Amino acid sequence: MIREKCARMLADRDEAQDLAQETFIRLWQSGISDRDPRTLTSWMYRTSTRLAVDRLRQRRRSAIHAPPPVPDVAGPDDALDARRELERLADRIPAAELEAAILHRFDRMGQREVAEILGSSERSVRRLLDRFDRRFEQAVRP
Amino acid sequence: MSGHPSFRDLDRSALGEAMPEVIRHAEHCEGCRAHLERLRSNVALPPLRMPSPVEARVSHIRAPAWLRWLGMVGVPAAATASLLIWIQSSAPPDPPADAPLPLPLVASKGGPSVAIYLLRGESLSLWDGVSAVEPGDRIRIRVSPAGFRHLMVATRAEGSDHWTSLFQGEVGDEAEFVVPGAWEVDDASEAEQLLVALDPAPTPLERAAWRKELKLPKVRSP
Repeated sequence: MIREKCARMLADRDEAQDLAQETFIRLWQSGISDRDPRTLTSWMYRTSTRLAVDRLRQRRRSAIHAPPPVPDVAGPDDALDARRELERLADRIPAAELEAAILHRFDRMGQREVAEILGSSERSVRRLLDRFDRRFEQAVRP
Repeated sequence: MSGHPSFRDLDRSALGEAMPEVIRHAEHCEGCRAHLERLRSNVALPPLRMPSPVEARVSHIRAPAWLRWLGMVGVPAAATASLLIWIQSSAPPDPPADAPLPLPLVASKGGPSVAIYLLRGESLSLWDGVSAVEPGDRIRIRVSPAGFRHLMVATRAEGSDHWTSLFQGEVGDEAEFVVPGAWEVDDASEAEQLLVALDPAPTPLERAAWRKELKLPKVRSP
């Protein structure tokens, strides 16, 4: 489950697996005692998404000195393209907007569910997604 | 519900939460049904084995070779499946999910500490400082820097004086830092060692303010 979630966010399979392992270790360390699926998935989606955003932004900052990873995640071409595009723009988009966009676009969540995961209001999520769309449009526009 | 359910709703359903609208959707949607079946099939794997805390005796362990740097190694389905088991099992977990975390493997009071996580098949455990690792085991390192900001991890072959850097970087203000990437234990015949060092700033390894050398015995493949 964690691995699938991470593979939806990152185009590179090894990096996705590494992120899944980090999320799993954090879950283990967290001492969460509530086994309610709603609570657990909320924690897992919030933590893994934030770790992924950190990783994307960190990687973009060091990309000048390192070759880009080779994406090898199997899946629809458009989904892979979307992940690559998000990675390309990660350092130009605020983290909060990236988190909302990942949950909305890759995890198919509605605004209310994104708000639940991020601990914010639906209105805030709507603004984050609007701003993300505008930045994304500007960034990809030739 | 319009369109497909969110992946989180599918996950919640796979974890046993009653979500009839998701089940109804999956009956007619091949993609969502396949996702649910994939998640549920992982539940058949053995449960997560949790470690017991053991004081470090790393300086007294014989050390055959074992480590190979992988850069980025991930958790297989096993870890995910273990999580599912942990969540779904009706029996008490082993140990309870709210049990205290294992003690750090190497620690002095108020000082830095290092813990070695060992992923073997579907079992994730904390290395106890004694047990032999096996080829194929995957290892990650967690460091509590106790105020130090620069972390270095290095390895060397047994008998060699040269340390090869595996990781160098800032650990920030975090109370705990999980070193990115993982090591996979290989079947090499040469002995290797692991060095974890901390310092307030980037510095040569030999001058680091805090250093801990780790040696892990290895069971060789038959």
